[in-house]
Amino acid sequence: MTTANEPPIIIARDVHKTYDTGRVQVHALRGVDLIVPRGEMVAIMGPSGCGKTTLLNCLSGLDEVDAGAISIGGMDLATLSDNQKTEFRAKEMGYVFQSYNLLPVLTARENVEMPLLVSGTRARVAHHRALDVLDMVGLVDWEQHYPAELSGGQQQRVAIARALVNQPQIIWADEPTGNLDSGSSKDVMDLLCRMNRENEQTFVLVTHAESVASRAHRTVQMRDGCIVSEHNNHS
Amino acid sequence: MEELYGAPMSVIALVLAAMFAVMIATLAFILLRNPIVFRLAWRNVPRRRAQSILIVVGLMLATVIISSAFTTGDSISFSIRRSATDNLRSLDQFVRVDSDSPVWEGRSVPDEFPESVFDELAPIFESDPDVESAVPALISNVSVVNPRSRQFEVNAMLTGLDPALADQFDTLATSSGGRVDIASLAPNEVYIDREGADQLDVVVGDELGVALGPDRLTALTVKGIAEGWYFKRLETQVVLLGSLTQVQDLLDRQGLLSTILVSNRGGFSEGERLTAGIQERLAQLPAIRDRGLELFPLKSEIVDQANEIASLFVSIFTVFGLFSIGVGVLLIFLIFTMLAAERKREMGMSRAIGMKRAHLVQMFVAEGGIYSIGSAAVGAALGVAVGFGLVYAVAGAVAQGAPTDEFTLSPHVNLRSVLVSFFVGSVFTFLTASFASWRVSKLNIVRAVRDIPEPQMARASKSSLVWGIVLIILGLLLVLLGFRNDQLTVFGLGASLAPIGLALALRYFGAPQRGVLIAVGLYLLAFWLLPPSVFDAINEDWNQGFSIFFISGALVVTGGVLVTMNNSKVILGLAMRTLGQVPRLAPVVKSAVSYPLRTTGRTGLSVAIFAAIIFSIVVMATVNTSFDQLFDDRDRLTGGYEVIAQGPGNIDPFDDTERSITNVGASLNPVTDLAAIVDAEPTLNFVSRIDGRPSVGTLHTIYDAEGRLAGSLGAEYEDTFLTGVGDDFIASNHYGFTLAIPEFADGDEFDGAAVWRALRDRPGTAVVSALLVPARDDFRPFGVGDRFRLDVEGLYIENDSMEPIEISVLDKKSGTFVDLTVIGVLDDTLFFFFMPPSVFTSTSTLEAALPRTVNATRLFFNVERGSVDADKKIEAALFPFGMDTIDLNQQIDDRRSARRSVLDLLTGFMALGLVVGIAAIGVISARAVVERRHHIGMLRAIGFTRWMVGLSFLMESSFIALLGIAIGLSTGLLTSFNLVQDIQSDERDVSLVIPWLRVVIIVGGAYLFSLVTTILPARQAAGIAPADALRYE
Repeated sequence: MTTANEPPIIIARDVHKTYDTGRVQVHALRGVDLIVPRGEMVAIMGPSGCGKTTLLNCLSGLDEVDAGAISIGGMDLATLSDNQKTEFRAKEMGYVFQSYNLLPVLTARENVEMPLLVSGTRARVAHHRALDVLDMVGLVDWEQHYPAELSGGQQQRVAIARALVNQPQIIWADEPTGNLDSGSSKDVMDLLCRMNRENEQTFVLVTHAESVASRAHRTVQMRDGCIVSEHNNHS
Repeated sequence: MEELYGAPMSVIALVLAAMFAVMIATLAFILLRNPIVFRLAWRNVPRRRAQSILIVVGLMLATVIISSAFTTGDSISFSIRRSATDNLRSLDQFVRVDSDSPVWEGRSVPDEFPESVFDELAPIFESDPDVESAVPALISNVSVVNPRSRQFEVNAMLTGLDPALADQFDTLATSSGGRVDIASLAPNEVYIDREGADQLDVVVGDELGVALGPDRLTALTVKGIAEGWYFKRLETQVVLLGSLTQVQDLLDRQGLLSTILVSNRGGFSEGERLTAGIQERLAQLPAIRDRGLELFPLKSEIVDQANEIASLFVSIFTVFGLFSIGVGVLLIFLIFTMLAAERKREMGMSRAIGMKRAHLVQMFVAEGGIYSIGSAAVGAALGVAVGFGLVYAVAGAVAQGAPTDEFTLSPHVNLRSVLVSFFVGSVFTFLTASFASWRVSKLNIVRAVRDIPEPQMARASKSSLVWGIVLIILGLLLVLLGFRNDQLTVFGLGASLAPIGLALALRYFGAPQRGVLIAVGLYLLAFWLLPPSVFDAINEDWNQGFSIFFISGALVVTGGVLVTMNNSKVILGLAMRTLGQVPRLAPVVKSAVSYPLRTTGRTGLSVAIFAAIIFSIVVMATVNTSFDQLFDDRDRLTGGYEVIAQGPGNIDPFDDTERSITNVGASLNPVTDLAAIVDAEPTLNFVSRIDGRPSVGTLHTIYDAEGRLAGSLGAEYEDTFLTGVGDDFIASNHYGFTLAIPEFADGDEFDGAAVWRALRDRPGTAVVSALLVPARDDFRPFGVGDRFRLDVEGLYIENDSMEPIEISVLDKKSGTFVDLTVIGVLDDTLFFFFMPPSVFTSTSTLEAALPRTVNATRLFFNVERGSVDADKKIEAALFPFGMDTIDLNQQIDDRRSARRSVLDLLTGFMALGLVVGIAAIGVISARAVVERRHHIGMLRAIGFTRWMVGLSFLMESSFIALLGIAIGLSTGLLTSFNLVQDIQSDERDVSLVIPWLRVVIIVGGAYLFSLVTTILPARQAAGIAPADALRYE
């Protein structure tokens, strides 16, 4: 984790988000404030429907906010166009989802290569870099396999490799162990913690699992669209 | 239209209606037995409106093609019938001399019969409840000139009717509003019909010159202009009306009739329907039959002919639309397979909560039924609109080549045709959907619920082995059958099915799927693209029809698709090494190519749809363009002549109705010495000369002849023409021979001049038209039907030579048999009837054999280069002989242009199939957006911009379309090359010409439209918000 003098990498102020389904309005976020220092691993917890995933989507620029401000690495997301946000995501962020979201038509290596190719890396360079990262997550021998040929834990490790391959500043993980058994969950969390430790990357995790949250530096509790409490796990 | 492919339309409609009823009963059964299943199906339809509309569009395309073909047929039938109504007016039937009657056996057949016949028949007609009236008549072809306006017409008809009965038959008014009163005519007065008056620029009181016989130019004064006529043929330009006795006197045929015109009760259709009953009652009356006469049902014949032509057109359009209909069925299958893929999870869930497999089938069948009915209804209606468009286009094309503007094609459709199209569309869509439903209902519940792809089995199931064995046995049987009967299509089909069966069997024993499929694909490609010489080496006597085009097309395209789809890594590598090198484009290319290559089933189907249509259009366009070169060899087509003169009624010698009342070829003033006439006429000084003699030719054709092979005792004599070829023709013509006896062989060809000389120098020798000899490769749109042919075992026009063939030909008029030896077969010259489809011998042979003289029927003229209006000048000079002229070069140009237009139209009709291909791509794209919503969100999360997502979808469609185009284009061009090479062995003038511009326009257009279809789904995909997409499951 970086020093206190360094500005936080994520700053969210009074963030509001409402979904209009036509019949009813759902207030998903009701004035959320959150600051995350560079290199921190933060876990967001709370019951279903409390707004955890919505907060993650808004912070990562995948979704628009109705009110409030979000700054990532000093960049105000509201000032960026859709294309600029996309480019920002491609270069500075990585994503890990509960259901892995690997492209089923691409092999493990091709899935990992994808973010590099999107950001304009040459195919040959992307190829080697993808293999390196797969090696890092222990799946280099599975590079030619399609997602359907991998176990859940393996797929999630490929997804993590894809999130890390661009060496992003922030990694967003939405229930990264939600679909995994306890053994695989531990492996995945070990991996995430190692990356956080070795690369000083910032991790924001949404989870239901206490065991996952306890591995983070800090846990933020949400309820009904608001942050209701937070505590440091390793104080 | 009454028949299609030989089956009565009423039966077809009935069978289809019964099938439709079964389909409705099935739906009703599902509704009553399992209302919840039916409700699920019903609610699925409006679930995604845009997708449902797309599905209806996709499903209806085959129906559109069928419906448009029927509409075209109905329009043609209707137009011919209307033209018949216009020309025949009240006439339904007539009594005439029956040249086939046994009464005339061994006697000469007269042209007329005594008036007393009418006296006998009149009371019978009067007492028949269905006969309105009957009138005796004498009708003759004449030529007419109007000296005042200097206009003349050789296609005129002089009609003499009993004045008292004519009024009962049909009441005609004059242009001044009075009544046409034939009884009041003076001996030198006639009425003229309105069109004739316009043609000759006649006013009342004009004195017309009418050529009635040798040096018999009679002057007749026009008393009035009649707004109508009593009888007229399609090509008749002028009708002169007089009284019976007056015309008998003019023609010197006192007491004789050529016909008795009979009018049935009721209007056109009602009257025509009464014909059969009247025929049954009256045709066999002794007063008719025993006198060698017949009651000829002219209107019914024309109606039948109209129906036959319409049926032929529908057959042609449906045959040419076969690829489109086929790919339409593939699209239906594709749509239902994709629908099933979309609902896989739901289906798994349904099965998990207790639904049986039968319920899933019923649900899909019910949904398929709803879509089938909706799409067939839209398709049948749209097909009528497309058919009307085709009719306008055909009308334009026909008008270019038609000799007169008498016949006009008008759009028309019968309710029965619309219903048949609707039934065909709904029943076939339903059946395809049912088959697809049965297939997709076989699912593993867990895999379906978790949406896990089906695993690739190391070895196929036992049913694969059973099917494999069945196909191997069937294939080998077909190979044997095809080889024994010299049927290349059957042989090829068998030779393709057997390896497919072997592949299925090998899969059961664990052979890898990819390797097996590639091997089958390569085999199909290699087999169907083998040069014709290889097949000839197996068997020299192959017969092949038009069906080989479709069989080979379908199988060669299947081969191409199998090889391509199973080499996805190569294609992906190729794409990445080219487009993938462009920075930022690499991930788009990878995503665009990977998706279709992983879903090989649906991609393969879409590629096959596109490839099959491109294949058919490329082959059609290339072969037609290559054939078009035949028109360039003018000497071969025209025999070296530039102008033909012929008597009226010569236009379609096959048509019995054409020689209905006035005997074709019977001329009142026959040409006896053409060279002398040319020499004596100073205005014909532009006619070329050979050794000082005019370069002209004369044919003397007997239209009432019958022939059979000599020695075929007991065999029936069949109708044919027998033509005497004048020495002048033998000396001046350049017509060649496709076949002759070995002594005339000259290298690979035959010495045509020597054959013609032999005809002159060896009495009793003959040659025949190519249409009288069977062909192995029967691509001819028409032949001589059930008329006389040289059906000698092993004799085909494709042979290298022939042995002399003895035949016997009967001149029915004189009852004389002429024994002839056929020594050659004339060149097959694109069916230009410049030479009649006849048996040809020399005039000296004919004169020696027959007790009568045969008049000259067709005169050929070779004119000096640069002669202007030669045809018109010849027609003017031959006016007293009643001869019409044809400018052969103009005729060839007109026919070439009309042929091109009609073939372009057929190509356009085939191109309707491209709509199917384009729709397939649209369906896939729309489906992909729904299916990949989650993936789109993920791509957006890792850095795909909106533009990249949209571009990825566009590239995916491009990829499918381009693969289809590449396979269709390459296999189409190779097949065309083989076809042309095969044709070259018989047609030296044909060489491969690829119409690149046309191909580029078709292919480019198809590609562009496929992109346009994808733009909407691509925009939709690009517009999906990443957070929404990721939330969506």
